[in-house]
Amino acid sequence: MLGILLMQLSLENWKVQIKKGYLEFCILLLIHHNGRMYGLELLEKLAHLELPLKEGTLYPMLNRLTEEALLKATWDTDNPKGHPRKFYALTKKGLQAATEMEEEFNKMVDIISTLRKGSKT
Amino acid sequence: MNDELKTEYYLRQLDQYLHALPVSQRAEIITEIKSHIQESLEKDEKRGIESVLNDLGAPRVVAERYLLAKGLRPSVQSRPGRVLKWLAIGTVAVFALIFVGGMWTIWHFSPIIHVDESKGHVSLFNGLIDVNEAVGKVKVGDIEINGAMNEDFTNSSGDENVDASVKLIKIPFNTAKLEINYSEDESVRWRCKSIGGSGPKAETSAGVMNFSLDALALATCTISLPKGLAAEFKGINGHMEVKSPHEAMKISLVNGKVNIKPDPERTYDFDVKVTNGLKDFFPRSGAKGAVHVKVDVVNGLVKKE
Repeated sequence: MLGILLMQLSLENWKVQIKKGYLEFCILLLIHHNGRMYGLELLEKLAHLELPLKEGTLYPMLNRLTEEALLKATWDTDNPKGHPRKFYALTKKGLQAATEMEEEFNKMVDIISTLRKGSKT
Repeated sequence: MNDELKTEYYLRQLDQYLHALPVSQRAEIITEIKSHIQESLEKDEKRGIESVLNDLGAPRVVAERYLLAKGLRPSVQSRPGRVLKWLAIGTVAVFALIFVGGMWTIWHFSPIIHVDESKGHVSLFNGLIDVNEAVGKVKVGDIEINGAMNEDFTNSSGDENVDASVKLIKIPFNTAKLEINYSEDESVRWRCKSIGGSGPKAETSAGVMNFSLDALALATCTISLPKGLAAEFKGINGHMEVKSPHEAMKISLVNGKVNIKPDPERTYDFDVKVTNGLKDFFPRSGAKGAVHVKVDVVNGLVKKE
């Protein structure tokens, strides 16, 4: 019983670790495909993709990606609701990073696929 | 306690935990989190403020994530020993009393937005952002954006030639005082004082010149625009003085003041919106050939000279 529980815990931990790695990649991809996005919009899209992320994690991450010049932030005050929205868009450097991440990710998928084929033979 | 007070209390705590960051960065973070809270409440009216704040996480935890993301070490609290632990439990009641007293003080003395129309004074987040017309002051945290410069500032100036195909100039800025006027020249002339930075960055593509002041910290700039060029300003934390707008102009500013001195020879079509703050009367005019001036300020003042 305890063994099963421990195994589940370690599996959960593995899932958390692997998600951490590609979350940043997913965020860059999402923003790239939408042109520009603001925080709440990103949270909703991520939740829809079953990649739920805490607000308190997303905003500092967006802040860091902006400091690293992968994202560029602009304030939009045209929102009819009154309050401003901070929109994020990819910079050239961000696009380059997303492309490199995609290549790395595809490489990993290929390796897994090769390994699976190997295990069948 | 209502939603605004709870939001205010949360933002105030977040601001305190972010103390290691420069005030302009803190103001930007607070404005973004406040916008998130308002947007979340509007999207789902049934969802209470507690649920929104809970999902954001404790202010200390959120602040630590910001600090860690910036490579700063949040202050680590030592693990309490046994005596400390019991002492802490014993003082919970005292803290609860301080909390209640603190909330009452906030409720009583410091509304999230304070507007004094007679003195032209707008104060937000209990003075974190303070625009005071009487003394001509725009203040964000400890920084005054009023052009009073000391010797640590570097000067830069120049002019950027504007191609005939360019019809629009976009000027993004962050924490700056800008004086805008128009000249007979065919180039954009500028003169800046700032901390570091080699000057504005200009790039032209598809008939639009992007004249970015983003890289200049605490800049005070005088910019002369050529006639025939529409302008779009977008910034956070600013003080803008606009003299005799000749062409269509759009200004979006979060935190600060915009002062417009219209040219008496011209007809204007003003579209001025202020969220949280004060504005003078700006007439709208459907007249043919009127110069369209759109101003959108969140937290601050729009004045007419």
